[in-house]
Amino acid sequence: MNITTLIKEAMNSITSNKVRSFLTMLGIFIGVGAVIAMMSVGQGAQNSITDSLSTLGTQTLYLTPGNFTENVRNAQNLTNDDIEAISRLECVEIAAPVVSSQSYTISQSNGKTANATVTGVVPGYRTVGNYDMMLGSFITQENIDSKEMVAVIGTEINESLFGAKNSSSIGETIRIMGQPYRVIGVLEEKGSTTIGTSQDRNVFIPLSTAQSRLMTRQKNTVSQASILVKSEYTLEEAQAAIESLLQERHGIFEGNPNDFTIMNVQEILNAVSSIMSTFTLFLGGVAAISLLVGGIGIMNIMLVTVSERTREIGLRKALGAKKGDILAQFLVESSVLSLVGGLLGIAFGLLLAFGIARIAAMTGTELHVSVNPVIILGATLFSIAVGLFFGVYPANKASNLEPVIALRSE
Amino acid sequence: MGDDIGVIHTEHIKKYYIMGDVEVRALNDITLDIYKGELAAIMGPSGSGKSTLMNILGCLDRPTSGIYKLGGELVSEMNDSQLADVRNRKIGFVFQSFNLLPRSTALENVMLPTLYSKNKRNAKQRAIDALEMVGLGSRLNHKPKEMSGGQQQRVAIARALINDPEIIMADEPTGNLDSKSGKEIMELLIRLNKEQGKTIILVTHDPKIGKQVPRVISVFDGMLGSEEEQAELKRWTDVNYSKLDGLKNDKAALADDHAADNIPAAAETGTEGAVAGLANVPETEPKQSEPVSETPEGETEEE
Repeated sequence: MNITTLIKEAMNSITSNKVRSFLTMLGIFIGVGAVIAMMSVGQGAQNSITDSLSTLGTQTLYLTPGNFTENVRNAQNLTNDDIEAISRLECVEIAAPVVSSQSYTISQSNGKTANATVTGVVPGYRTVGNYDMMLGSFITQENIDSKEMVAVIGTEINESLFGAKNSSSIGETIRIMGQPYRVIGVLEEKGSTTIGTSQDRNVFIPLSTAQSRLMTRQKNTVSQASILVKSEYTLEEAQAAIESLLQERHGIFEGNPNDFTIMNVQEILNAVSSIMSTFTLFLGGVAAISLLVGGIGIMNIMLVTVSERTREIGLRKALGAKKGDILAQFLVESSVLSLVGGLLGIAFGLLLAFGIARIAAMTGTELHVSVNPVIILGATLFSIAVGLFFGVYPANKASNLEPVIALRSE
Repeated sequence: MGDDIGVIHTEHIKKYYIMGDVEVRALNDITLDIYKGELAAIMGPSGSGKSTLMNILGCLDRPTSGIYKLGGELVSEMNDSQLADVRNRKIGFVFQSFNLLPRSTALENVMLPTLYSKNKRNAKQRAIDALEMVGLGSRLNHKPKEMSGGQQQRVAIARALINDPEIIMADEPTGNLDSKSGKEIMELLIRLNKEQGKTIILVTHDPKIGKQVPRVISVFDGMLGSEEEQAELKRWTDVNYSKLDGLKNDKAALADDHAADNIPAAAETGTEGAVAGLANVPETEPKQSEPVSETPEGETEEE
């Protein structure tokens, strides 16, 4: 018996009792649907998190003062000189120090106001932070040197203060804490970060201006530095070089805790990825249990089918069917049953995933469903496997029937 | 026929079943030859072992001991898979309850044995030919439930013919049919025997059929009937059915058969009935006519 005949016979038998076949498929249908939905949504969430993390740059180290894990005596701040020294390291492309403070109220002469984080930056920060300009220019070295009162603003601030995201606000004056700043540039729209804060509500002013006028308590100290590592060096090498340089400058002896922290985006990315993968697998595993239950349902129905069709089995054997023929017939039948359920389940699962993404989008969380063809192929193969596995026992029972006994039964 | 080996040849076939602690002897020492082109009926009361014999001859079951050769192949030593192959190639089955697949059309039902056969060439054409031969050429795509019992049985016969087997085994082929359809089926089987030379073995307890076939193999208690028992059976069938119009005679004849010797009058009429019935016998089986006609006389003389 060839496979097409087997499948035809199986379809024939499945369609002969539509309600029962449908109910049997339902188990696999829901199981596969749940697995696909969970995996797709989980994968989508993971992708959006890692995507937004990697906008921070995978060749970038973040240097902050303080130690988050250990107590340090006589902790020193990071100073402009520290950053200056770092930028002279062989492996460092750009070391961009920033000073930032709490959110300030920014006002405009037309009376409109907006709250924004104001950050003092250097020209290199544009490269490190992946900022593009929509209008005007970024902070320049001249602005820094002469401590000019200029600002570069994000699109949302531009919208809040001047009415539209792309309003031409170059040359206008905004006030931060009452101090007047001239707008010299508007940033390209960037969207929100992973934790949901908008990257378009930034206001950048020259580092020197910030240290000397706006955040006077931070004179000569920086709150963070983004360090772009040259592509021929690994992050680990750069991290080690910066660490030893700062230990020397801050007088930290071997074995004592550092009074600074170097964050490696790649490390964070890896950690987040692994957490999300585990989470996705966990969701998929929970869903897979319903697949198992569906499989048991198939076995149950196949057993009923075998005892209902004892006569047919006897007849087929009398007409020359061998043990293997009967085995194949029932295995194909249970696999087809399971496969059809699985295919419908894939469609259902995708629908469910896109539904969840739609609901998430309506509640304000952007979620892109990631349809992984491997998972779809896997679900298809797995549902065939479920049918085969749970069909073995009933099919074996059928194939072992003696033709005489099978024909005699009514 | 003579000394050469028949298409079916058995030597001392025995079949025992173990039921609980008891050993049931379903067949006990059956030695028999059925030759190519024969039309034979296996007859016997229920429980006599005729179904067991049929199952073994049809390769559905293996004897506990003894030798069974089918067309020269030693079937009694084969494994399940080889038996299945022999059934597929050499035997066509016709069952009492037709055993058609209810969801398949007549054509698909007839093609069923070719699914398990190595010879799949022209399977569809062969099936159509077989259906035409049994007179159902116009009903190829009808499902069993759209056909009468007689038609269903003819589909079953077409199915038995498709692999061109040497032997057709029919287990009570008319058992579920009205007498008219039954007659048609018997005519079809006889025609297959005469025109195509098919060896046909019928299992039946219908005496009417016993009368229509040239050879009756009687089975009693798992053994082949002796000469006298064979004759007894033959006579019994004749008495019963040649005189259907004379109910009184019939009863009397039965009474005679069961040795109701204390009613001489009845015995006499019974003898008459039996003799009258025997008028038909020589036409079908001349060899057996003499012993058969002697037996009732002997019995009446004793009384």
